[in-house]
Amino acid sequence: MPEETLRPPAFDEWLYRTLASNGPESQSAQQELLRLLRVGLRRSLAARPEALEWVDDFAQEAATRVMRELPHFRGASRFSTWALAVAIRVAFDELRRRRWRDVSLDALLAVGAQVAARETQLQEKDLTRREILDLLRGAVIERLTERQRTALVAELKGMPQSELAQKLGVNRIALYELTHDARRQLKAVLSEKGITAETIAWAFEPL
Amino acid sequence: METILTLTETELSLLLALVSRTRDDELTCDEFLMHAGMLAEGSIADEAQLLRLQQHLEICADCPEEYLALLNALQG
Repeated sequence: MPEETLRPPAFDEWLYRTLASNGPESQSAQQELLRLLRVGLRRSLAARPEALEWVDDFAQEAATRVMRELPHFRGASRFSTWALAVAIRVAFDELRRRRWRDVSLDALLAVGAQVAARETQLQEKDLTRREILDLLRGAVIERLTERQRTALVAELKGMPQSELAQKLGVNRIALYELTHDARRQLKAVLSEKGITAETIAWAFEPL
Repeated sequence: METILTLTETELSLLLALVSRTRDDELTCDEFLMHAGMLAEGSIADEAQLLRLQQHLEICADCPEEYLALLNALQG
């Protein structure tokens, strides 16, 4: 089968069934899975040629994860599409980690402090907008825990979730729940003050 | 570590945008991943589910990049 072929017709069902059965054809199916993931990852990383040299490593790691998560596949999409989505998560998480692993949370937040001071002097804001931002800033200080603040601020400064989760010692789901809960609390504070999504859209358009 | 002092006006505005889009019943990244294939194939008929997936793409910093990569791979 040509290496560049990503989704041969009538291939998905056989691949999934064979991988799931763990029968005599399982070995060749795993090789097909690897081939599929390599092709897909090359395409998905086409805009990042510097990452192409790691495609084989990513594909290997992704194949392991696909096999581990096989019981979660419900057949709602083609198997190859689902497997590729998992592989892309593996590859992009690793690329983000390589870029961010040497950035400490302390250093990231310290850089922001210098920029914040400069922006406050340079920018002049509309009164409504200023009031909303001050309210939000106050809510972040008063309503959130230090851990929630750290997670939110690091995310806003661009730290990827996988790396931030590792630095905070939690998994990505727990991190998402931490920041989701924080956003919900902040939204409740705004709502208590009568600030709705419509008010925000009006004051900050285009946001 | 006093983190709030490090929020710039731009970041605070971004946080405000995220807060205004926040819903109680959001998907986690892993839940989005489980449905990303269906979304990419255009096979989601349930409008409520479609909206939740789209909302995750609006709120999450990482999943949109991965979803775009998936679309590129499928269309490549």
